[in-house]
Amino acid sequence: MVGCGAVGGYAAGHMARNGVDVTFIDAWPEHVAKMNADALELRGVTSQESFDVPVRAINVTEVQNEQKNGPFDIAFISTKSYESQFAAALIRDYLTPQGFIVSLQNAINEERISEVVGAHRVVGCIASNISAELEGPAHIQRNVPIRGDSYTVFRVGEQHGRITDRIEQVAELMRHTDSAKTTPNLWGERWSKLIINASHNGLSAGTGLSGNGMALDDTARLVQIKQAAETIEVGQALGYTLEHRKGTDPNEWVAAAKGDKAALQRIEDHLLAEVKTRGDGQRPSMGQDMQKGRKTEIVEINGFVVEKGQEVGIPTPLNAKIVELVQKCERGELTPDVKHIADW
Amino acid sequence: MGKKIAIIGAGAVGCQVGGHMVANGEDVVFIDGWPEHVDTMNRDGLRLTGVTEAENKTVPVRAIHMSDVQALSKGDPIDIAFICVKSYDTEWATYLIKPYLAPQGFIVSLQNCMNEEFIASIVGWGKVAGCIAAKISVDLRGPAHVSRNVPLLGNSHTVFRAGEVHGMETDRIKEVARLCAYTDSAMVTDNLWGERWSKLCMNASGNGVAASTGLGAADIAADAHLRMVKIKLAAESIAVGKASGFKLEKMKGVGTEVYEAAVKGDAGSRKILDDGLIAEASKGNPNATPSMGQDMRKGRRTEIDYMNGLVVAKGRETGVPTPVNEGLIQAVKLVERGEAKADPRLLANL
Repeated sequence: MVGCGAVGGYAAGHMARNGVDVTFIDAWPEHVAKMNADALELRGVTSQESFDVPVRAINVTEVQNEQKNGPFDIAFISTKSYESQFAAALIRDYLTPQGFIVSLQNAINEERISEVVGAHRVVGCIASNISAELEGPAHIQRNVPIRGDSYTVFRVGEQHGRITDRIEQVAELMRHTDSAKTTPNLWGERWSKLIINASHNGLSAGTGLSGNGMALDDTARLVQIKQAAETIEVGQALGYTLEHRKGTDPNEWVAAAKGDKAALQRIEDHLLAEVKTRGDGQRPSMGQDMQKGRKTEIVEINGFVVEKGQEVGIPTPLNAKIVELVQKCERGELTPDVKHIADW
Repeated sequence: MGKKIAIIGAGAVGCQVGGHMVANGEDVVFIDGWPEHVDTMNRDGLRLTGVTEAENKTVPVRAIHMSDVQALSKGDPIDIAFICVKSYDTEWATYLIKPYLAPQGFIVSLQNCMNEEFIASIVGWGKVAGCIAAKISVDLRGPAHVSRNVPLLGNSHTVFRAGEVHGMETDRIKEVARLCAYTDSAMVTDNLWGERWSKLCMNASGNGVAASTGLGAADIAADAHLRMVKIKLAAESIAVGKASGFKLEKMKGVGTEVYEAAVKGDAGSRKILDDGLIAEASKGNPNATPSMGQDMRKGRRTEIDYMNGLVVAKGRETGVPTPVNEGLIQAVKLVERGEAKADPRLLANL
């Protein structure tokens, strides 16, 4: 597992607990040291989901030693998107001839990783609604109960869409954590998740609002809908089969953004109804990154929408604006505030 | 002054060069993956020791862990990034620093072997320059402690040779030479490729032999067969370098034609090289081990794929056979993977 943050650490922890041979590779020394010295603490909302797992963790500098321990069959990359190629180049030399990489990340990084190791060695796995957080060294908290049959958390796919043995294997590994399936529609699923991230991750980082804060603020709610609509239109132009987001039709979002009152009402009702399903303090990962002073994934999320929009000739003015706003906040030129989007 | 500099890979060379820059007021950040090293540098400073008292100093430096590289996005971007990691870590190091380079920023490969091509594949040729450190002889003794084992070479031997890949003398390459000159003598070279390959020929003929036999310099020099293996390795590398179009330099004062003649059976040339190897071993520490031998002892991965492996790869491109280099790689890998103990017999058939 290259990158043992919230998602990577959580999934690998469950693998290790179930007897899978996993090496944890991470760049944060304190995290690695504590995982080795004590154990990885996984905490969930029930006591059955809370336990400590002894794991083997190594620093980036120790990866070169792995040739002696035998190469890896499957390498999960679970770093931030902007570290994808770094992680791929780091692990490349230590894969078996048939070894491959699974992008277990936000955004769409399969192409970036393919640049480094070749497309035939890269598959994707989406973690949907996992809601895990790295709260401190060797301590990961999941904020929602196990979804099980009610909602499939992990979706594993090949870039070419065929269902292969190797993605069945990956799905099996993910089932140690929660429900998982293989999908013939990796690109559509990836883009569907990107729509959600693009509509509120940057917005949270640039305004400082939480998930519920964005839903309850009239301006932020509308900006969310418009950003989602831009992203949907780009995805459709790219030819992706988009999922229905919790029962809402992608076309309805586009109609809402374009002024269809009935559609707008239904989408707003949907966003307001979601408020009841999450805690008030819960904020998207990019909002968390901004609070912690970490570099965000804005370029890889909204910036990616802008880039792909240019390829297919779909204008994405709000995605472009949010990239600019978040980058200014990242550099400390602006403080996140809802006033920045007042006239959007 | 005023340039923002990053050292990626604060090993022996990176620390030595970066430390002297800091001591002279340059703005340098050290990036490294060894936690204890980074923590000690920040807490106690970077300790540089040399063979004379005057060379010993402790420099307060700023070092960061790999996980903190992302925070560079908050500050001014990097103007010059020196990559000083092992060759096999070159590409990830490039990916790591690429997002934080200034628009005019560039990367200097301050490494062994010839890694400019790998870096260029990621950031483009326009953002790559090279710098050779010849006979610097530094060791990372422990966290935050680098020791130089030879005196300042100054005018007697130019330690650093900085060059653009196109060979022109640009302002930025003069800046690189200026920065390296804080440590020891430095010049701009118009022959980066030739210098790189000449150094590679030397390394390719010595490093793997020490690593696979487990012998020190004196024992290797005393063994006629091993001397001949070294000469053959050098001659193959020279042939590949010439076929690749590199303008090779003299190696330890000997022209490349002497190696070529020696492997063709010319006794006089063979004697010149044998005498040179024996004389060289008698001058230094008899137990001195090149970096690859040190890596092997520490159980670290060696640079064999980027050293003799590069000779083989370029040999295939240019149609030059390299059987002795291939045999050496096999022997080193056996030892590296723990499948054989280091032993001169591993090279008996070369």
